[in-house]
Amino acid sequence: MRILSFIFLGIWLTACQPEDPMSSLTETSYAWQLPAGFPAPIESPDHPTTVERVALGKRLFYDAILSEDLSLSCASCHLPEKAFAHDVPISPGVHGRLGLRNSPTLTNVGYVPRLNKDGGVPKLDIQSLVPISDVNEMNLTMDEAIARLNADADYRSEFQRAYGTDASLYNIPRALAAFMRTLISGGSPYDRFTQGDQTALSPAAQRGMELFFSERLACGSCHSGFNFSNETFVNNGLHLDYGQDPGRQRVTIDSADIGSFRVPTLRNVALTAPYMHDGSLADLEAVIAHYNQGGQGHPLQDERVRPLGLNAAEQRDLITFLEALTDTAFVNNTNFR
Amino acid sequence: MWKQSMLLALLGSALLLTFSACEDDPVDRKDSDVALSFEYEVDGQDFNYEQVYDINGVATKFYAVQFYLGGMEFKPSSGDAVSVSDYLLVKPGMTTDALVTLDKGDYDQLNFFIGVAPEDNDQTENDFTSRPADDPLAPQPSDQPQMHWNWNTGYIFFRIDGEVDTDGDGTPETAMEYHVGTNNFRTDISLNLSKEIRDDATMLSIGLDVAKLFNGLDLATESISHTGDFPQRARTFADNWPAAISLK
Repeated sequence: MRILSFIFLGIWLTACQPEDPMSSLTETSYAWQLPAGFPAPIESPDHPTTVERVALGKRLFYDAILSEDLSLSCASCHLPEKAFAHDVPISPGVHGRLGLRNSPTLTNVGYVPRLNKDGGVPKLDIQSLVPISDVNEMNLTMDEAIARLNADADYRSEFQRAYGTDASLYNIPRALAAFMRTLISGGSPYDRFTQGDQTALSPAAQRGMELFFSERLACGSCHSGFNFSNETFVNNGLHLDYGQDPGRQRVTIDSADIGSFRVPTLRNVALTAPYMHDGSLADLEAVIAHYNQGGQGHPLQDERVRPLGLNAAEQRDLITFLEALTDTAFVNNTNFR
Repeated sequence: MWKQSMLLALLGSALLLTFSACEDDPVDRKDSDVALSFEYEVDGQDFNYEQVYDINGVATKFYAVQFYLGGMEFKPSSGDAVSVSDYLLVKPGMTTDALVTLDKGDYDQLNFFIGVAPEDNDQTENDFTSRPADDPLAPQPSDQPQMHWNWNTGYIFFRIDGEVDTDGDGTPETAMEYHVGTNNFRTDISLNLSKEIRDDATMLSIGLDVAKLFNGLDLATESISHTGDFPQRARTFADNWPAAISLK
């Protein structure tokens, strides 16, 4: 009898527990598939990448719900077929507003230690707050973003599954970061060549590669490592006057940093025209011509940017090499679309 | 009968003892709960957001005058300084709850800084998205002036928004914005306290003369600094804080 009483009491107590159908936290570790020679992307210890977070971030990335007038998604300015860059100098934001900078590629963005072209944001986990709230980009307050997402039953369910909570200032940018970390590209002809496939690069591309890494050109002194970037900030002499956008100086308040911008990855660079921080160089020919000229001669220009004396054939070879950094499997990867 | 009387007397005594034991004896406290209040003024005039002030000859109206205060430290005449880890987001007329309990006695100095310490400003560990809503370093509600830059590491240490008169008609019509931050502009303040703290509760009143913040700045031509765009203006502005803050 006493046992029966306990059973009934137990049933009664559990029946009184309020059910929370939304609470369904699931944490399936994301299995990184890393190209040879690639380390794991940078992750915050408090935010491990999970399958659920990546899926939620992907949905957010392609959803215009995060723009003021529901007209733009992240993918509006980061097109998969352009290696998640955009083919205009400055991408128009809501109401056609223009900012100051060209949309960067998101290729291997999970390896970038300081985000934005001036390095103002120290981790990918919070970077997407910049375009979401920027008046010239998506122009949405995070209060409104949170309200919109939590008013959507599907999104609420997905946030509960990925984070065990509703959408918040904490988890919206982190879900987007989880997806962006998976945008890993290391399957170009250059990669196959370095892994032993001697047929992967044409003779012209091989000549261009030798030029690229030569002491004479020293392109590889900045565009170094597995991701073709040493992640420093350099004034490459693009302009004599940087006008409204002083680059890294905007962050450091150090006049020595005027005109310095983050060295970008060159992976998939043939897909990411136009080039430079402001999209002012239309194609790779213009980029090579800029460096061959030795820049514009800005007083703070890096000393490695100097006249190179490249002839026309050498310039073509360099471009052929840069084109061999295109990873078609990456841009066609349906997991990213 | 005698026994009954004795029993009643004993019971009565026991009850008396019990109740008297439950009463709180007034005990002299040896410490004091210390809170802060902030009184803004503009060159001797009371501060309010409706009034137009003359700042160095320029008609000026304010919409927001607020700043972060951190690193508080009370230095007694003898013994170790007492630190307060909390940050305050100071706004006009603000009065805090008790921030710290100090031993009663003589105190010489109140030190603090205007701004946010580098370890809290760099956003690498506890960034602003990780903080609870009631933390002054959490993002402000969207209908309030924001105190952080999301495109750049860290917080706006001091934020002043308003309008200034640039056409000389005495009516402010041009936006005035001083949003100053980054680690270089964190400003140390040391106030001569010279106070004997002897009450159980102590309210210290800190004054801010907003006019003094613009010494050396011509708001008719220098109405904007977001730090990086006009760093020299930001420098002048930040350097004016120690003279603008006082203990009332």
